[in-house]
Amino acid sequence: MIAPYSEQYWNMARTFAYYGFRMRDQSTVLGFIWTLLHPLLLFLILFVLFRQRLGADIPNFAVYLLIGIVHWNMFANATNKAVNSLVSRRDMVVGMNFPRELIVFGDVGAALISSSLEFLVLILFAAIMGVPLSFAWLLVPIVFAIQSVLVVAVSLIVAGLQVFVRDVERIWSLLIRVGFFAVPIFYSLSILSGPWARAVILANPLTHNMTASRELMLEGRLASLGGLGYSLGVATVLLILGLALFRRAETSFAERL
Amino acid sequence: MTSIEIANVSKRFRVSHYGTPSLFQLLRGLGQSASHKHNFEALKGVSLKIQKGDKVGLIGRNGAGKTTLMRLIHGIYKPDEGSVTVHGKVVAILQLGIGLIGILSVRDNIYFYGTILGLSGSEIRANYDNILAISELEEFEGAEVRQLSTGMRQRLAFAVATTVRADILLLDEVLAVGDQAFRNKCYSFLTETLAKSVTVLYASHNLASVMEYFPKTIWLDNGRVIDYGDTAEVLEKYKSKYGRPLEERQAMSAAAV
Repeated sequence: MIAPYSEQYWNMARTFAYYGFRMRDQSTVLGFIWTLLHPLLLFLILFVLFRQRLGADIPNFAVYLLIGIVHWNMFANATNKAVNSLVSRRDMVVGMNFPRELIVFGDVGAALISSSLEFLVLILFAAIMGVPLSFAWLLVPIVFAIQSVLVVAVSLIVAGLQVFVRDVERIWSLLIRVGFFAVPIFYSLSILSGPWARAVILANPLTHNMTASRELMLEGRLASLGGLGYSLGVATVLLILGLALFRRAETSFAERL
Repeated sequence: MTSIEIANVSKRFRVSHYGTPSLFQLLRGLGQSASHKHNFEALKGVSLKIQKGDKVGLIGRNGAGKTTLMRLIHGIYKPDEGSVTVHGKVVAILQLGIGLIGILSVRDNIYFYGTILGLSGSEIRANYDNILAISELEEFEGAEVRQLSTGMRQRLAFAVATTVRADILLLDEVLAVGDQAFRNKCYSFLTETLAKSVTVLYASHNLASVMEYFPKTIWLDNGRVIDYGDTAEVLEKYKSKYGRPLEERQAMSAAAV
């Protein structure tokens, strides 16, 4: 049995992520363009629809919108993939002995590699759109890292749950669909009137990640440091909780699958 | 020195009639009696001690608990009662090829599968040519594994798995499949391994191979140890209960004539 967090453990995690990424057919430029098509189409539709309405008061709406979409996609893609990580690899779980979270890390890692490429495209797009370059852009990877912690935490929880309850996958994809509208992707927080809607949206750490990236890229500063801190806090707590739950359930994965 | 110690181990499996429950079934079932599921006791109070370097055969009918015992030793299952103590690194070749990934090349699979089995990157690199030679897949190095025949896939998995240095080796019937050339290779690996100080546990229905290679044998039936001791004696009892294999019957009738 491989000791958790040993050198060999991380070596395995890397290998899982690397080949997971290769399997997504994105190691080729063409494959990557295919995966970009989805967020870009979504971007075009929302941009055309809302440019003169919800987006009218938002400066640089195009970049604002794309930042939202890329952040959302990162979370949605990775967790949607992670739900089936364990159940789709029943043979490996039943036949081999290694820390099971590596399977989840691998799938999530592969999704995060694609997301980091989307972030690069986003930065390129912002530069093309004439957003003034600033040193603050260099801090965007920190937002990416904080959101990665959240993604890993949630992925561990949903992947583990799916082993015990078979419709977690459906529930999760529904939540992701609904969640798209509950994060300020194509609108700004200022349009929200009800205190409830505001509270729900502000409770979501994704909201704060988007806000932080937008401030960094569009304004060249980080005004809402507290929001990002809150996001990091939520992500850390969820990661500790997720790992603990996963460890507890780990021994019964092989029996339940 | 003891290599594997199994003390009073019981293992039960919940047999549910509808597979993994949905959320609705789970909620509905909370206050109900468990009439729709029952427990299957795969192992019932099994105690065994295997000394370091022992070569032990494991026989028994289908469903006797052989695989469950192997998985408990491997650490994939945890016992419900009793304890399993294992000294040293366990490598299990229970099912050949479950870690292989169809859409990756032979080359990538050697790295991926090797990593899951616990080899480091440098160990794989050092043994790479050797693995390719044992699997006889030099010509197919760049081919995707899904394009290989079943036998070729097994050779590949076997070649990688046998590279891993083990203190305890768990083998299932797998070694007796494939064409004659592959079987010979398996048996020569077995002979080599048997000469070393590795502890080997070999589950098989092929009584002749158990007789030839393994001085000691465990007979499991219905989750209990029926007998454990000198192979010739155990096999004699086993055969007198279930009948002799065809070749032996032919030899006996030939001798009678």
